[in-house]
Amino acid sequence: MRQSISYDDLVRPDAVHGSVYTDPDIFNDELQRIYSKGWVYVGHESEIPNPGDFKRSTIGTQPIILCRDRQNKLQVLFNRCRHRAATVCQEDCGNANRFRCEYHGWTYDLDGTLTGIPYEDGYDNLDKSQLALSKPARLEFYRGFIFASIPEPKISLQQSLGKPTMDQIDYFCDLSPCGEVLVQAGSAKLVYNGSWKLQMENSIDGYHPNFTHQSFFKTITRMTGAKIDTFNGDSIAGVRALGQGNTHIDYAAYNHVSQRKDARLQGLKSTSWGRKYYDDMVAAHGQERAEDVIIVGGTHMNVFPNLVVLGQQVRTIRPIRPDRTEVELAPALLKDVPDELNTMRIRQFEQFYSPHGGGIHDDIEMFNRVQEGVQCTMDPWLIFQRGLHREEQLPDGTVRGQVTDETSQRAMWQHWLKVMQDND
Amino acid sequence: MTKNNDGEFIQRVESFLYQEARLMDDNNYQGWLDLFDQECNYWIPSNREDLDPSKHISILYCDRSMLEQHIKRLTDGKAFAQSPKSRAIRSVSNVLVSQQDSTIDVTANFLVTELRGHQQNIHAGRSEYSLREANSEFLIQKKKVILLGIDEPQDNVTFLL
Repeated sequence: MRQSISYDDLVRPDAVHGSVYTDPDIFNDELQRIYSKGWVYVGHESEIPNPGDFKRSTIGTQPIILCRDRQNKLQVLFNRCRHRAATVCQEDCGNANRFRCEYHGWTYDLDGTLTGIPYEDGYDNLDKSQLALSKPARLEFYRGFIFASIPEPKISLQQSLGKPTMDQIDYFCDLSPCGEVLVQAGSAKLVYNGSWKLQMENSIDGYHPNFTHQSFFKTITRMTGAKIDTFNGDSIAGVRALGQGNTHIDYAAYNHVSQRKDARLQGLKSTSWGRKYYDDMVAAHGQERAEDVIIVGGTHMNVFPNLVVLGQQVRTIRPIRPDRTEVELAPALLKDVPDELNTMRIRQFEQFYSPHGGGIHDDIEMFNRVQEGVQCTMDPWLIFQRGLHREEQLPDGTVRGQVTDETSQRAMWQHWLKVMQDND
Repeated sequence: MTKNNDGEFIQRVESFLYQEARLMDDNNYQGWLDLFDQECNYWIPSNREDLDPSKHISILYCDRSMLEQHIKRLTDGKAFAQSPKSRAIRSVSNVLVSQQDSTIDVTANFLVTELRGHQQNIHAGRSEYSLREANSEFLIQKKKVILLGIDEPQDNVTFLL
């Protein structure tokens, strides 16, 4: 038995020890205490709209099949034959009648029930009803986002998300007049040589864009004339800790400044499809809410530990090894809006987030650099102190900092610490 | 099929593809861009090759002006995923040419061996071109790059394809 790790010694209020990005024992503890215990995002309902639709994914490093059974019920099944553990589903996604292990022919229904064992008379007292594909104890949903908890959860999904987080998911979904997003336009998949936490830290990092992404912002300025000042040190945009390690880059105040707000609304209403969208939004949500949602433009947030809802996209983070992570970025189309709007969302997504886009790979480059740098163990602390002296507790219980502040990363790390210490 | 179905014509097309590969190997972004027509479409599909790019994301989908912006960004010195730049050697083979009226359709397989950050990667794929001839030079009207790893998690593929 290895000595248990004293997590208290690794996370300070304003700093994090470099070993949290590299230590294989810590990674194994994360798989146990974060991914095998709490609520973990597994996919969106719209990815598997019909009975028999399935998608392979993971919870932590454990392979799962997300699917819809014959009764149209969503299922999460572990992709492991109950006989001798071979995976029963090989395709990344598709439509299936059943899942069959091709090693010895054991067959399972879409709800995981074991339906067939070849030459069954060779078994004495084998209870097939006890040999369904394993499942997490609980699935819960919020606005189409599916979360799984492997053991019986201590708190419900809604308690785990909390109201400020659900409010942000609402902003994202309410960009559709009927309140539904469709994760059905493919995905960009990326992989890097670094810890999964680097992507989580970065997704809600308002300090890095002006530096890491300067080539992208210059491109925007060349194309549109617009100067991007959202992430300046004196910007009125903010970052927020929403509770439970969930975090948010808050553009509301920045986007609501009258000049920007008017430009956005007028720009939208200047095309016939934009006008139609605006009218449909007002009819569905009322003018005040519709304009607020359009102006704020969705959300930009992390849901601990592995979901990012940002701009037009839903992003899933998959830890593979301490120093290897896969990220799947899927644009969310809006249901019941003009095609032009969804095509625009697809093009905007590609501009920054595709493997040939102008942004995400500059982030990934930085993760690779951090992972290399953190091999240096002298002066091992990474500094997350920025703005600690000026953050503000809001009436809704969230904590807000200026957009370049590390309020969001601190909140993520404090929650990580709490979960990692909870080892019962 | 090929109206101009003689060895010399096919050789000229192949030679054009080799020149394109060499410009990419040399990170000669402007020289590469100059091979494209003023009206052009450059497409690297994502997930599957047969999806509608207006309804499905691509790895890259752009017209001439977007392609120019893409190249400007890559060459401004602050595109850190290409700083330092990839070194790459491209091989082009299995060239098939067919011509209908003034449009020349070409498909070719490619293999890119890319070196960056002490890591050597191999990417394979097939490119489909529509070319036109103007003043005895070929211009690319359309290029579609179908990566073998079209649906795989991509490492850094920000070099030219």
